[in-house]
Amino acid sequence: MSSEKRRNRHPKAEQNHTFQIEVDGKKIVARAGQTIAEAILDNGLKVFRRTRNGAPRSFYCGMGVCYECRMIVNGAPNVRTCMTPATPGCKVVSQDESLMKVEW
Amino acid sequence: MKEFDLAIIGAGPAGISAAVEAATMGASVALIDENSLPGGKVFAHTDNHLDPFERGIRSQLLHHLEKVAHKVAVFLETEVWNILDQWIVSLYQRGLSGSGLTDIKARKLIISIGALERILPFPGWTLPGVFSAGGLNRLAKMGIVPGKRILIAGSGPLQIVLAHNLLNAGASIIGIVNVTSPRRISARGLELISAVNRLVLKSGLNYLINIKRHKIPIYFSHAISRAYGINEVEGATIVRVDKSHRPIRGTEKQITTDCIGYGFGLIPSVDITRLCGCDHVFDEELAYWRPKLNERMETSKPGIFVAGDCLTVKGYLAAIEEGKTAATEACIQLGFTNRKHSGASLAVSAKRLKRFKRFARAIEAVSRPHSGLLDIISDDTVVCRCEEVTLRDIRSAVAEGARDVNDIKRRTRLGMGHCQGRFCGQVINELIWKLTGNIGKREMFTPRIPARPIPFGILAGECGS
Repeated sequence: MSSEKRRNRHPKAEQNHTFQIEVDGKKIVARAGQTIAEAILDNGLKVFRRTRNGAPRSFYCGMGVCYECRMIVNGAPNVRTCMTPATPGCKVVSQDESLMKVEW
Repeated sequence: MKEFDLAIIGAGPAGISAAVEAATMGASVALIDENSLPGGKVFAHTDNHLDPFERGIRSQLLHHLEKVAHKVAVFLETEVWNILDQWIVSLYQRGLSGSGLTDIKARKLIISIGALERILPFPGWTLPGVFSAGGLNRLAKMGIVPGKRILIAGSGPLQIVLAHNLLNAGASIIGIVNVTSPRRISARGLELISAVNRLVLKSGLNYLINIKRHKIPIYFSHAISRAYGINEVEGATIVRVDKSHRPIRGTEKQITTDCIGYGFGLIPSVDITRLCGCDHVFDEELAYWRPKLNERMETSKPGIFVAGDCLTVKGYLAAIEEGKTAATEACIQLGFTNRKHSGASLAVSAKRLKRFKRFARAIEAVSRPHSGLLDIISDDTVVCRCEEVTLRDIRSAVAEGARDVNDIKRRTRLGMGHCQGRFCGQVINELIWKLTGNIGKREMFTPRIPARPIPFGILAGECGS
């Protein structure tokens, strides 16, 4: 459905090259110009992390204020994926804060 | 320490136009932004994802910035975490490689950090699939549709823009829930139409026609009262509200949805001006805090100017004018120009701004939420998303004697998380008043450094070196 229309509406965007990134060990396709969060949501995934009480959380404000979309990117925790461009081969892991020892 | 005539915090439309103006007059400028590209939230997209009008404005701004590049040092992916007198701005350069702390010094400051979304907690709003309207709009503009049955809820003109962008991305919208009553809109209709910018009116009408053509149901005088689901949102309850936005029992309706875009428009982001110790006023009509300025765009702290949506929310066209004005005023103080020389251009900007201000005030006054909506917040509703503080936690703190926002913060951790109270801080006064039955003094959390989260290792590294 939407992919068909999307192709018509954003012809230039479709010409952009695509590449793979790794999310929780699975390879997903990202388009150039996308942030990590956008690539994840574009692939139909919604849960970005779990709070220390185990509640699922996702991308929320999309502008770097809420920090809800924070994930572990190339080993660095608490990276706001809504502000971080996806780069070929980057490794992203969802943060399970109930298992993290460090208190922030 | 690098020194500049002017440091501008926030490289959105206001910040860029201020940088261009000041650099053209001969000032050396530091332009600082937390994003990886200049343009602010409104022009955060690459050209492919903007409409032709926005594309034109964006490329014009960036082109002008390019022309003065030798006078402007641009700091991207950089957070301002502290500001000391006369003016030392502490920066945290975030970039995945080579992150670190540095300070710069500037003779004058312009703060143009824009707006943030006005929120109101409701049960289930932390579920994945519930997005802020602005967040979902960002995705829609990128052609990303994170759901098959999208519900838009809240209020304000952003709803129309969001619906339009979603439709363009191929989304299916099952309804627009708007808390405002049509009567409230028509009561100020003339004022709105008389003040609206022609371009805004034209695109607004186009958007409405698009929504109409897709036969999307609009529920006026309604609010979302609950979202439910296990790992992701699966449905929502909407409810009719009365004049003061109190939900009316027995009017609930269930809607199956897997994606909700929720918000009540924008409010100025005031945390950096507060960190600087500038005076702020609470605008009762618009229901938000804004920095107090004199007629020269200067705050109560001499040498600190404010421009754009972090002053009052008016949109990018107004922000560009305000950026120019603030830069000119700063340059007058710095001696790069004088009032005689720049008077004419200041007057032109002031005239343009007057109309924008009138329209923005009318539309915000119409679409702002009212306190009845707080009735939707149940005991187990998370009020502070970062620290997972519920209304029940706030209730017990109040029962133990907490009466002000900082006391609630100390007892519950509300406002201590990553967002630094920028969301929960919007409703905590009203919640305390509601729980105690007394309307007290309105206040905000005491500003604390670091104003933005900095990894502890980096702060410690700085101390050790």
